Amino acid sequence: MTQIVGIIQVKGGVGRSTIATNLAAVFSEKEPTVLIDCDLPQATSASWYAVRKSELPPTNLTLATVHDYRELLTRARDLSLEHRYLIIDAPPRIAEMTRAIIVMSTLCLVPLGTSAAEIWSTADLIETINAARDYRADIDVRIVWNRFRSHTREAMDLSEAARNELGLKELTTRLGYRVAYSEALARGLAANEWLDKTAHGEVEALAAEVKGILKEVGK
Amino acid sequence: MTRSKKTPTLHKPPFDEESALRFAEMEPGPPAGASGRGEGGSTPRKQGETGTGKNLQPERQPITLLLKADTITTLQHEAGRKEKEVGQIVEKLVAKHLGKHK
Repeated sequence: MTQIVGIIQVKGGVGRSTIATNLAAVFSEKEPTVLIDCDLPQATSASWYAVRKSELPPTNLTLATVHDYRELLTRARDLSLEHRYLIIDAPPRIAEMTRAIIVMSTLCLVPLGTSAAEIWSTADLIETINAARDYRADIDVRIVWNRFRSHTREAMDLSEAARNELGLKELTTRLGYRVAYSEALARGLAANEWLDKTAHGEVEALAAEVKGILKEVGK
Repeated sequence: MTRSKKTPTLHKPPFDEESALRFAEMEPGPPAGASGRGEGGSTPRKQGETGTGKNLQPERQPITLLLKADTITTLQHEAGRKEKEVGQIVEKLVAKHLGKHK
């Protein structure tokens, strides 16, 4: 059965495309996967895919770009016929598109950095997620910490505060504050295809954890 | 690369399109069920309705426009950027042009 992972966040620059592209690349190593870029005209994921396609041989990974929520629903329905995973890179707004993604996704990931601004903006998203439960009871939304500096007191304090304030589950895997993610993105690669071995481990752990959750949901 | 389809697929979409559409358009509906796959049912439409939710505006009349492909592409980009329907963008432009901007 096709499973849909939506990467949502209200604020820009929090790592939606980083997480979407890395998950898409790792998932497509074994099964047909489509990366759906809804953040147009910025199109970071689409640009990453274009670079990747020019550098690497064809794989199980395809790209779709959509301009509005109705197109998203139609395309997702069609793409689910031939793909195991749909990875959706949402726009940085709470509007029709993001609301549709929340309800249609098997799992939603909310990238979050340990900055107060990112945590404040996520509070608005929580209201929308709670409202979505009236439309789909089993919505599963989890925080994924990005650019996490685990050795700093600030990061630990803010993540603890976010845990209490936001009331969302969070993934065990955290992506660290590493230049490897932006370097890999610029080259059309996943971080586990680039140089930093620690980033390799993080991305592979992230993909494994997400797959584990999807497996549970699929039972 | 995608798998080729050799046989017809009786495939149930992995999500409930109606629920996603209702929430996208913030249209109230019946209580949700698990998996969002139709347990909540769909909202019956009144006679004469052609759409759902806030886009439903009965005083409007449909027209067909013949536009150049690049104009349509530009409109789609603008609609995507503003998270609106192409029709809403066109309506706003026409209203502005006619001096009837709300």
